[in-house]
Amino acid sequence: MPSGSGSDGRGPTPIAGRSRRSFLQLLGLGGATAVAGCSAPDRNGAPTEDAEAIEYVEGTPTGTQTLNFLSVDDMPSANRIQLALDGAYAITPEQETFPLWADITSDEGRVYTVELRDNLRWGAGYGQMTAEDWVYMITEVYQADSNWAGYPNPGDWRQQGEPIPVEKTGPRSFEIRLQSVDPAFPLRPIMWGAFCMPKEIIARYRPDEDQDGLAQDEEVQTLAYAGNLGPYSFERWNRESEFVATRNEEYYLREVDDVPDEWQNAPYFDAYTYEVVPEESTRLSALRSGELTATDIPETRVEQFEGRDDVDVKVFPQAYMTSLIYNQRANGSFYEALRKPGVRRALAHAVDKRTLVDDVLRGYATVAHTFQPTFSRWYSDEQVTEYGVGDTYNHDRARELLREHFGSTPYRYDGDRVVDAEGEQLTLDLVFAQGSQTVETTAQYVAREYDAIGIDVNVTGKQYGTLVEHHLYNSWQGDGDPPWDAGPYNGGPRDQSLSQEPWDLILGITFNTYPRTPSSIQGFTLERGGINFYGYHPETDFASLFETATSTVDEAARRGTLAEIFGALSAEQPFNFLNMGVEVVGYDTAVAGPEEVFGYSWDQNTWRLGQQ
Amino acid sequence: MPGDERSGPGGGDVTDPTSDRSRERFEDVDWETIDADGRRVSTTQLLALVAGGLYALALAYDVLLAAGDPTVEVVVAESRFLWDATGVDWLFVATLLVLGFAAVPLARNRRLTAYYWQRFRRHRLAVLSLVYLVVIFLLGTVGTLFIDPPTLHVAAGYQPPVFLSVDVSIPTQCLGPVVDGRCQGTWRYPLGTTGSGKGLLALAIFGMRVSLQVGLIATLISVTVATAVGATAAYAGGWVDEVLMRYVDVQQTFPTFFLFLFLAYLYGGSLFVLIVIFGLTGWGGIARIVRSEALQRREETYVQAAQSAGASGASVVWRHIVPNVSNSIVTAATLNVPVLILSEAALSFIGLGDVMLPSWGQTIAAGRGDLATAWWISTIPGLFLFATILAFNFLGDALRDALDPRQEVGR
Amino acid sequence: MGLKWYTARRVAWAGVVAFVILTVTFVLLEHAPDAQLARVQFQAAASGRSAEAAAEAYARRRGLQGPLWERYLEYLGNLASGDWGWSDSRSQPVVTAILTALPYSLLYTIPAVLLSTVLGIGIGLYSAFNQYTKTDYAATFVAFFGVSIPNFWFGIVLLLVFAVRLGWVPVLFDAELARTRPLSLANARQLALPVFVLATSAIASTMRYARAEALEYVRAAFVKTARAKGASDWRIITRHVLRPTLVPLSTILVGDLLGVILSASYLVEVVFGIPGLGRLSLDAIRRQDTALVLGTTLVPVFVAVVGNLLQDLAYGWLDPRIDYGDR
Repeated sequence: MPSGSGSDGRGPTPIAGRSRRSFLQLLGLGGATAVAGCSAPDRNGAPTEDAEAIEYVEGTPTGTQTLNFLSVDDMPSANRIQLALDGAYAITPEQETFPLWADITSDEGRVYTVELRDNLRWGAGYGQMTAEDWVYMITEVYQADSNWAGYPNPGDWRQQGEPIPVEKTGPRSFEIRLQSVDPAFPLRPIMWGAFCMPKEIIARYRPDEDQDGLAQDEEVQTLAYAGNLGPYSFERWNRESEFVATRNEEYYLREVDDVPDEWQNAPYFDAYTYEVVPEESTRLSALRSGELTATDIPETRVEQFEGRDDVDVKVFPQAYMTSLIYNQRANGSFYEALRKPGVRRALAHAVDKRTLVDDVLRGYATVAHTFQPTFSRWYSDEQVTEYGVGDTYNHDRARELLREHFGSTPYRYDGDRVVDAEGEQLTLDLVFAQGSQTVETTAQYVAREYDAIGIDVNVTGKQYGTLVEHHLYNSWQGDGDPPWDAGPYNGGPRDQSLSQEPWDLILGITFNTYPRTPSSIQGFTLERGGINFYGYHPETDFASLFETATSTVDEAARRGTLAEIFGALSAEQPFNFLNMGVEVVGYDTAVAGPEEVFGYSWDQNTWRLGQQ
Repeated sequence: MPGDERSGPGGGDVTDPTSDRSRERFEDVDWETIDADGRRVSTTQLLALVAGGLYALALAYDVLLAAGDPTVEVVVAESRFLWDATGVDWLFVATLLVLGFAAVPLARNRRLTAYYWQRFRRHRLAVLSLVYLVVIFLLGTVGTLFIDPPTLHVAAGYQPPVFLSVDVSIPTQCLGPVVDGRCQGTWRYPLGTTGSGKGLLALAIFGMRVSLQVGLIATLISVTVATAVGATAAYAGGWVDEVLMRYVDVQQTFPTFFLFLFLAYLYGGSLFVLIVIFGLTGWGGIARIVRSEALQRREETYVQAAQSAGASGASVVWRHIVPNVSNSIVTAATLNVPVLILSEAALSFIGLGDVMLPSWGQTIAAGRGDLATAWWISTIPGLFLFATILAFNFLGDALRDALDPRQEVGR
Repeated sequence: MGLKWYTARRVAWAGVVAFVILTVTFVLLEHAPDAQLARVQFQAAASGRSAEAAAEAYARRRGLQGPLWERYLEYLGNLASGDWGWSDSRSQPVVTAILTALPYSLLYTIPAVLLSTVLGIGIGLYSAFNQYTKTDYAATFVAFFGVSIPNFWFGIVLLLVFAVRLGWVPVLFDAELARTRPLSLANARQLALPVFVLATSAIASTMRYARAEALEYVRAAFVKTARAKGASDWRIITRHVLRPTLVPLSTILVGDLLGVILSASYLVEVVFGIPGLGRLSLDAIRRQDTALVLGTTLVPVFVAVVGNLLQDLAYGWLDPRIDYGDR
């Protein structure tokens, strides 16, 4: 059996052969053994015609932790559950809702009605999915006062501390009554993609608030209740090795007629496998050898796959932003200066964003200038000021601006170096989160750029958990109680709420920019924002702007307000917006379906292999 | 290869080598000098005192006065020479001093040195290893003072080593000539560059220093603790022995590498922390060897003579027992060094090391994803690491053969 | 009599060791920074929710509520009744997790140990008989090769060559195949590289020991006598050298080899994606799954203690001169 790697493509035959070997595998054979190729002997008496079964094998670095969605707080677990449970509805790349189990509608954006389909059947004999199941789960789990089930996002279903009223209005419909108008509610990950569990299962553990019992329930663990609710059915889960789901022949979408044709026959794979391969280089080797159908490729390794005719590299826009964060709390060694927007703007002139994107990230990212990706409908070119590109990347200009804005701060230029009040060379501590080579290189690159404007930078790498504990968490160091407290990341006013260890610059903490619900970034930009560990005090009144944006139903007006916000942010430079990441995935060439847009995976069920 | 400690001479408690003691042996080296030292301060001791004093003064200066500033700042002509000594640097200097003075008695006894050299020389690979290690040592200690540390040059990523070439799509920008669509290596980076454009030659040389620091400092800490514990346990016996050795039991129950991994996860993987972890937790095996050797020595006539002459417990242990188990210690220490160097590489692979450290392990781990297209990134430091580990292993074995008294029988 | 008393004492001591180790691990883990908690809190705060509520929910899911000593006592109580706890990061009982992972580890460690022992003894004996010759150097080099090369680098290169380039073996480890058909050719093929990497890394310690012991016996009087009597070299090796060497060699099979294998298994399992004990322990530490960390810590403790005990007993049985009365 040829390995398939480096096969000089001669027409369709090699691809077909390769497909057959790599994923047209005997279902029961599991994983991508590829040991005996096409002639793999059957196992456990599996019928041999299954050799034509189409298997989609995705390589991931980590496995799932639980299949109990009520306690899932990680993407790998959610992805696997999603194979068996469709969720309420999907969001298309055009930001419209696409009904799956249910449709969500509203008149004026305050009261939302959720209407379930009539052919949703639980498995394990729990009958039909009703509004009763949903309301019970929302009120008795999500809104339960002691959060007995350990639900990760209890705040989702509350507004100002009060539970959002949820009421059953029919056997298959219920209402969500928000306190105030929120036109973006369907786009928030609250009802979007929400799963559900039969009331009877939850009711078994609700009286005793038995979280352990729920987590260890056999039906919960094997998704036995999933019935016809998802494209696949749970097959087996070898912990930290593979998760296999097989095509669900009863899939409810097959019986409905209000979805496009390709959805009615979905899915197109007989089995969907998540293969856990912890080591990145092994994962990429398996993609090369055809044992994986798809896996993520780090930016710096994409070159290895270019020009290969058996792997298709696709680049999907993402909303995660890498920024250089400035410590404006009183335990930084440069905080007096960093608190001035003029100084922050000057520093933004010193770092070449273009080189970072082109040489460090190998072109697999886009330059960022504000807290929103350029593909977002809320992003407006006219309002955004750009720094660190073209003319605004200029070390002389940066020095000039620094000189100008140091003013009353203890810092000044002595010759061409920046010195502090004692005349000593200024040295900043840059801490970055270890684990990504591009972040590490970016950190060293920033250090070099700062050196060029007379500032020494000391670069240190730390594990993510340690970094958060040492530098992000901050707490009140003053006397008495803090005047206010916005959680572990913002323990109070910036002069007295300090982190355990001092720092000046941080890299490697990526921020979600929420292009669907942009007002979610309040936590990053307000003085009392829950994420504001860097002690930023905005000069613009963002709070009231956000207030306006959130409650405006008219989209054009909303767009105007949000454009103003993002413009102001780019001018104030709370941190140096460096770049917006992308997701790079290597697919077997035979895979058809993924489109290179933001939120590409919403129609994953309609993807297929080859010319079927 | 953690866990190899117990394969030292003497093995477990059970073996009882009946050796011919009529000849002068390695353990006897210190014997006369130390006895003589008891009466007057020798030059060596004086030198050691002076060096120790200077070291303490310099350390005090760095900690108390220089605090945040560079320890040494020399401006020669245009170039500024800065050296802000870190904790690891201080430990390294101390280690080198101790090693230097430990070699003095051996150097003074020429006849014996010549004798052992004669025996050692028979193992030709070991001689070669020794030469290689001396070169590595000089490059890593003296060499690193004169070359620039590897620096970032993002546009120069993935340059192939000189005389070699690679498809032009691989390097970020090809610095050398491009021939037939292939990028040739340049003399600017003789061994090529990493993905972030750091020269591998510089990385390899700085890696020598890190590896030596990890291996030598941690081993010295281990050996010191192990000798103290092992010799004390053997000499004192009774409940002291019981307590010390039971502690060793508990520590040894954890597989060494698991302990390294767990502690590195908890306390972070900076070089200093790693060295301390390696040094303070990896000594159990050596302690057992020292104890079992010392148990045999304890019954020897010279120890009993010293005791009956009224020597204190500590002095008997220090003067009579420790020197007489030194052959086992030297061998075990030599074989401990490669284990630690490899452990550092393994922790780098798992992602628990300090990625800013220019160690071989870090470079190998960082380049492993590029093996398919830019094989040299991981392979070149890998070869250095491989050769160094191999050299230490050969050296250790040759030392054992040369120093092992059991081998004198019949030769 | 002496033997029974000795065994009882050793077992009691094992209990003490286990207790000390569990306590230390429990306390250390409690004070480690928890990346997952940090992530959960960050996510909550980023989307405008309460980070405290998220932390509380996390603690509830992970069973981290209440004071340390209370949880510790509860854990010990459960342990005493045979319940090793529930692994939150795998959603299964700790005992099940260990019993699931163990066979995968054994699948490649047993062949690797056998291979390395045979090769190690062979090379060791050869080296002892041909000290300082060219072939000795070559043999020693072979033995030291595996231990000197970074395992993970070696594994990745072998995968690239034999799996990607040549296609002789699969890149991915198929756990289902290993579980259902452990003795098949397909399974042997996917295990070939891990076994090879692990075996080469373990040869050196066996070889070193075998050589040291053999050297001693080579010069011993009885071997000379045998030689004088005209016994063949082969007979001398097998009868007079190999047999006495095997006694102390059993020591390192339990001790050193266990250490080598446990440490190498972390790397080998990560590179080859084998869901064995090494990865179980590594993932447990990374995810701070306390019950699982403690469980995986107990495994080497158990193996070491039982191994040492068996080894001591084996000595007594092989060498009647040893008396347990004075130990």
